[in-house]
Amino acid sequence: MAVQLADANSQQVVVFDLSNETYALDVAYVQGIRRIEPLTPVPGAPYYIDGVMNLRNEVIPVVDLRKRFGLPLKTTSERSRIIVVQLSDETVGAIVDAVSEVITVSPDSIEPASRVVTALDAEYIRGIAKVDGRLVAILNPDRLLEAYGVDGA
Amino acid sequence: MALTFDADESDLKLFLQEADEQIELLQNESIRLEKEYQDQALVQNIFRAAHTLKGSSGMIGHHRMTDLTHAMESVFDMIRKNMLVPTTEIVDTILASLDGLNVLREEVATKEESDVDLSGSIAALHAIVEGASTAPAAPKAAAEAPEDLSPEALKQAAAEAGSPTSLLNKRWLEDADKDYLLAKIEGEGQRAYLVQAELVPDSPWLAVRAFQILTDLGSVGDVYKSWPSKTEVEEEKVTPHMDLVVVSKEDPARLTQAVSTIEDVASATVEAYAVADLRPPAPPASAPEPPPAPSPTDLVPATSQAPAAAGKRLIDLGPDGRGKNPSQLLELAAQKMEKLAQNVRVDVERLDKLMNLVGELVVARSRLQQVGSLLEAELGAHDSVDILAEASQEMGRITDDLQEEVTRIRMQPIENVFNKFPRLIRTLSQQLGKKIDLVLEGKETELDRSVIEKIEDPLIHLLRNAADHGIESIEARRAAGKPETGLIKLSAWHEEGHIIIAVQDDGAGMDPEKLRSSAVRKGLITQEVADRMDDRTAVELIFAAGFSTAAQTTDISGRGVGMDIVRANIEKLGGSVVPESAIGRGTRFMVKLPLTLAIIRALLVNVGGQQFAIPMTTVDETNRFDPADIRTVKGREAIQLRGKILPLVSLREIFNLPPLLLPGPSLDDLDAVSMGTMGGSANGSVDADAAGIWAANGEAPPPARMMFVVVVRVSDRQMGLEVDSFVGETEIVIKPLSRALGEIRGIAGVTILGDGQVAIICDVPSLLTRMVQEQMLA
Repeated sequence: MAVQLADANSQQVVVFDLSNETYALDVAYVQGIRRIEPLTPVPGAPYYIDGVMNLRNEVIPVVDLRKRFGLPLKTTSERSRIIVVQLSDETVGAIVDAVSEVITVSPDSIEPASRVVTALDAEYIRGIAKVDGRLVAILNPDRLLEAYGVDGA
Repeated sequence: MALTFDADESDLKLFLQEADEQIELLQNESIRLEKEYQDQALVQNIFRAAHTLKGSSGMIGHHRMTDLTHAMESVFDMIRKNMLVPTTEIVDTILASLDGLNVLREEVATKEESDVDLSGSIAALHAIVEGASTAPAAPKAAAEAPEDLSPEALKQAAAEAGSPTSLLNKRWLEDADKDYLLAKIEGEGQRAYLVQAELVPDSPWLAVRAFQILTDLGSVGDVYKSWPSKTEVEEEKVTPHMDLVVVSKEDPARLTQAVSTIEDVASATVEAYAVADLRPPAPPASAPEPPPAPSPTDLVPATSQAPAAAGKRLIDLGPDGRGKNPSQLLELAAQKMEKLAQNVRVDVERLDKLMNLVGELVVARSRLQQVGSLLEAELGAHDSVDILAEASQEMGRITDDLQEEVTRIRMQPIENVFNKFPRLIRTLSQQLGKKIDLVLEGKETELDRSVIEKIEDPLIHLLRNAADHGIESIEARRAAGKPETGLIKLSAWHEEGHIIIAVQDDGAGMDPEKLRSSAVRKGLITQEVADRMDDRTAVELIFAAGFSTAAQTTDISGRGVGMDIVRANIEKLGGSVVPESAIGRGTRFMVKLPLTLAIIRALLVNVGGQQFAIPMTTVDETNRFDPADIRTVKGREAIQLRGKILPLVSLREIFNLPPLLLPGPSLDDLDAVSMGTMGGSANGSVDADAAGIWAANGEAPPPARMMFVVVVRVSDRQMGLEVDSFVGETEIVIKPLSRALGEIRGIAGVTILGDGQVAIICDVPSLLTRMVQEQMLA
């Protein structure tokens, strides 16, 4: 089997759609991608936490990224997915509109977020990659849960 | 600064394991020295622990620890030889050194050098040794070789005026030992030897070699005593150096040969005891009398030394060893050693994992049983259904056994926590200028380590409270005609699947009247509430947030943690705490805790289309009520249960859940309850919201229905929790709520149910506390 070795500095990212924009997460943080499944709502949790789910006998919180980033709300569809993200000290699920592909981006195609305008606050974004003429915002995984600014619970 | 040691990682791990045992022993036992210094076994144990630490720290090249333990050893040695009485000051110094020792132990674990300065401790220890040595009672020889001389040897040395001290005095033989050896020599014509064997220090088989030495010498004679003892060898508490007292008919060369042919033995010396070495010296006219008068603080009746010595005459094989001949003893030792080889040390994390898996298994078992019942309901009597039922029953039995076994493995004696308290009480009594004795009972009572870890802080607080607020000052006690020394008793025992821990003091007790007026003054309750409050409830006021009866907050118990936190923490563990008090006679706190936190029984209920788990430890009963029976007391809903009025809270309201969607069982006579009645009796906003939604949907409101109520209790507070329906009782494994969500009031954690769904576990204590607080302010 041919293994495509990327250059040491390039990174692989999981590309997904969210409210008509394209975002990505470093594969190093992605533990898996699951279909939408029933969640258990947690009363009193921050508004952007849709609930908790059972991931192989671990209970993990699931973040609705639209809510998290203040994007227009939409009910989940057949294409919606939960990306399971491994943070430094815990695992979380993130609901996205659709997961499209895993691509390799080279570091020189990534620009700092501050220089590009997106729908998201620059704080949530590590950088913007240009892939085939598209702009892909690479998310900062640690910001998925952390309360930032005034929108914390 | 990073530290390096002369040992590899696995050796260091081994060192730490051993060091922890010795340090723990030192910590637990040193505190007893003050009162029980005449207990030879105690002193010997402490001395040996310091000695062992000195040796093993030397081996890994931890010089600071070697220096410190050497200084400690010297002090213990003086005590052991009755040349020093451990006064309060001396014990203080020892305890302070132990603190330093702990820091040094941490250095090995973290490999980081700490900035702890031990020169003060070491100097203080040396000063104690020198002070004792130069005391007129002790001969000068002690200062030169304080470690190796017994009082007898010193007496002899003094009597023989300068004759060289034989190596034979290296090991201190008690009079009883000498009598025994003399009898062997003079009566049976045998000879007594002191055998010293030096093993290769890095031999991986130290314990085995030590055991071989014992066995081989046993074949040419009778090993009367050994350091380390047989028990210690069996427990692998060995050092490369071994001393043995052997009674044999053989000549020394035979013994030397027996020992030196054993592998890993670097050297062996054999020396015979002369009769003069063993004969008690004639009572000299001005014999040095080492044990000075007991200090005035010595309240324990002095134990006689002779019986203790007699008890140690036999080779130390424990009670099993009494009355056995040497070959039987060896056999016994061999058996014990074999048994030892079958023990393994297990990482606590692995045990936790195992417990978790067993928990999952228990849940899966429940699921299997549910499926069985479902099939039975669907198919009726059917062979396959019967077989499934049988199989699931069998699996249930095995799972139960497995759970019990694993739970038992995780059980630890509460001693691990209790042993820290004598020092706490000692420090407290010094700080408070009171005299307090702490009595520990039921130290061997076992409970799960998950509970042990969490019970220490609440107990510390209760003890501080007892010492500070419970026990009166010496003057007050005298005036009240009580003994000057106050008593705090900490006891533990098992009761109906729970552990009860009682913290009892014989102090002043709590005055309900004072508590009531104090609570009113602090604005915690109104005068009206206070007037209605009975004495029992008044005593409970100490658990109210912001309550403290002490005239001034001391730094002892006023450390920012109130009794409210203590109760909250105990209740968080699924436990309860109930105070009882009698004015002038004292106070007792009864803490009741579950034996394990890992797996609990819970009642599953349905609320807002979601399942919630309510720990059974908090459930008194489940009941149905006619909504018409809901009363309103002071603007709050309440139900009447067997004449008692209980506050009623809706879980749906607490958790802000969507209104009930599935119709529940309706009342027999629907006409009897109109919407008007329902609206009139229920004042919750949920009902209003629900009505609004029904109206918006254009649907008719559902018929009035029975209300499902779970009556919960924590300590002695009760309330009704309204739910949509009861699901059933099951065993659940508690998992923490994600850290990202933080602590959410009213939620104790989550659990995975048999069908894989996640259920929220209600934190009943916090719900009750909130309710009580609201009520008090009402």
